Amino acid sequence: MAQAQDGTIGVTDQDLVERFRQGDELAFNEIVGRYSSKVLTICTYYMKDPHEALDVSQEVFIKIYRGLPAFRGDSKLSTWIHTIAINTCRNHISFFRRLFSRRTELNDELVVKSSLPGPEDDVLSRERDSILRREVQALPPRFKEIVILKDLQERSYEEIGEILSINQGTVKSRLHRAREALTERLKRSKAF
Amino acid sequence: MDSIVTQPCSQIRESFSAYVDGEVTKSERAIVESHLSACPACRDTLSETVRLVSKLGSLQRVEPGPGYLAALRQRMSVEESFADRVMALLSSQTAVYRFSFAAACVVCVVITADVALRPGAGTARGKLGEPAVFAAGTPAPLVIAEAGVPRGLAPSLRAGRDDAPKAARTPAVRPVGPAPIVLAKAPRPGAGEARQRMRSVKILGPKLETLTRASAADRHPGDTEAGESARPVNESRMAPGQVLAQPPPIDLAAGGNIPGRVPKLEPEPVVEAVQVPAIGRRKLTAVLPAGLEVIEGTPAETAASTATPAATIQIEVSDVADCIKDLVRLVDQIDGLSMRQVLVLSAPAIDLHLGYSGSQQGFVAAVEHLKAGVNGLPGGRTVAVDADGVATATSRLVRIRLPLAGLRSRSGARLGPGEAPGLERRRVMAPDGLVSASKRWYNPSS
Repeated sequence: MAQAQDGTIGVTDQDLVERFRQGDELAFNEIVGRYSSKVLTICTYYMKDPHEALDVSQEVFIKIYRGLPAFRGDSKLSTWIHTIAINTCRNHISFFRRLFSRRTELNDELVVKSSLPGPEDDVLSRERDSILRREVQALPPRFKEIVILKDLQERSYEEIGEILSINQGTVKSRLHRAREALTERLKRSKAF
Repeated sequence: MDSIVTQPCSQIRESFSAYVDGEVTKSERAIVESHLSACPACRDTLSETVRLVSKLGSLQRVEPGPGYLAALRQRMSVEESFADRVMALLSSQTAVYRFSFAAACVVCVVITADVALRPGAGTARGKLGEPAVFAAGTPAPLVIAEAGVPRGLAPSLRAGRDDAPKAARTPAVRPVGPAPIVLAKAPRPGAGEARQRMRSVKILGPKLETLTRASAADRHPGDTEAGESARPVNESRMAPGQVLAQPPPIDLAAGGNIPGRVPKLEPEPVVEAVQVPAIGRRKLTAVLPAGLEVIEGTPAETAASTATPAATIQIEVSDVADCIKDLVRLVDQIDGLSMRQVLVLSAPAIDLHLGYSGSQQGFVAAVEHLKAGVNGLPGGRTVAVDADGVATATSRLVRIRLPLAGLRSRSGARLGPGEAPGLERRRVMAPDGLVSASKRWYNPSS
């Protein structure tokens, strides 16, 4: 416990879950800290509207907060969180959900782009990134989610199968078709 | 190997994604590579896949800003407040709702009366506005006796157990004979009043109604605010001169004429209903004596709120609210003991603090009596007894500790130790027995 309070180094997800169950609210903050980037990335590439993405990401963490006490640990925490994120995004794109959804104003305090070194300062690269992001967002949901999970979240086929409740053979074929469709779209956009 | 090379390109290309991701077996890899060595078109396709994966991998990830966590926490608290407001709205009855409900009831009554007064349907036929005589077996009109009984969320907050018959939980509509039909009119309450009424009616359901009737006669002269809220809702909200539908007589000896969980209602000082603070996200209710203080907090906070207890009894129970009710009844039966406080700890326990006035021998006997009583409660089991606390000759405190682990919520779901995460609201009982508005999120570890 002392180790957990001093910092997150060496603290496993299971430790955090256990601390949260014992009433330590800070453990939830740490979980948010660990997974907010992943959840935000999923939501941003799943939803077309960044405001919606932010709202949905918050909704994901609210669900996590409510569900953590009942989390049995049958799967990894990361797999469970990814499942919640994907399911929440799926539900949110329905018309009625969007109609009644709340909208949080975006600002730099809430969301920032990754500061990873890359071509983001290059205008041309940024434009290509923008097209690629738009084409990913335009994919059918079942293709979009598998591309996000594999190529952005770098999940293994086994984990993807668990998250999407499909077998690994389906993961392989669906991912192939998704990438094929994305390649076609990019070729049409002359961005490939 | 020839058979490998002769596989169609479309079949081989389906494996390209897995091949690039390193998710193929050795044999699959061998098949793909042997095909690629002989097929330039597939090599181009594979290079496209590699380029695509590379591009996707370099896409920007989204990082939360510094205010993300605060915004999330704020939304969580706002949503909780919103849920409270919806509850209050549902429990309060607006003028529109009242009018609609009253109109619907009048229509029902008129239709029923019309049917009953048709030739052949009854023994007599009267005009509207005149007392009608109903034949035996004719469906009787309904008297809406409890205009304040809320709908919707009531089942989760009613005092009856889940296994109690449904009739026990819905005392609001009661068939009677050909008595005059009166709808109690209530002024539109404020939000606080609505919540209090929700507690004093919805939570207790049939039991409160019976109890308040039993105690109403004793409490009418010089009623306090607490007494006012304890009266039957229809009576306390009657307009001057309005006729009150007479409730049927209550046979206390037979346990009252309203089916409920408690078969026999004994005179007891229970006059108020309070809502025990939420455990996790579940609401628990209990019937407690008026003026009883309910404090929720960390063990340190609650320890500071009371004198040193003379004894600590730890028990396990199956239902928090019912256990508290049973304990109140039990304590009342033991001479010298009186309930002082209910401390609902975030985790892991609920403490009941009791006062005692009497001799040392009497105190020991009272504690033993209490311990035996606790063991006799449904689901109750004494875990530990600590009677080493300081006690004066005239005033002693007994602390009963109820560990939350192993408790069940009203819905029957088991509350494990992980289901009281500590992020709870605080409600403090005011001396008049009404729940004050004090509530806030708090972090036990802070």
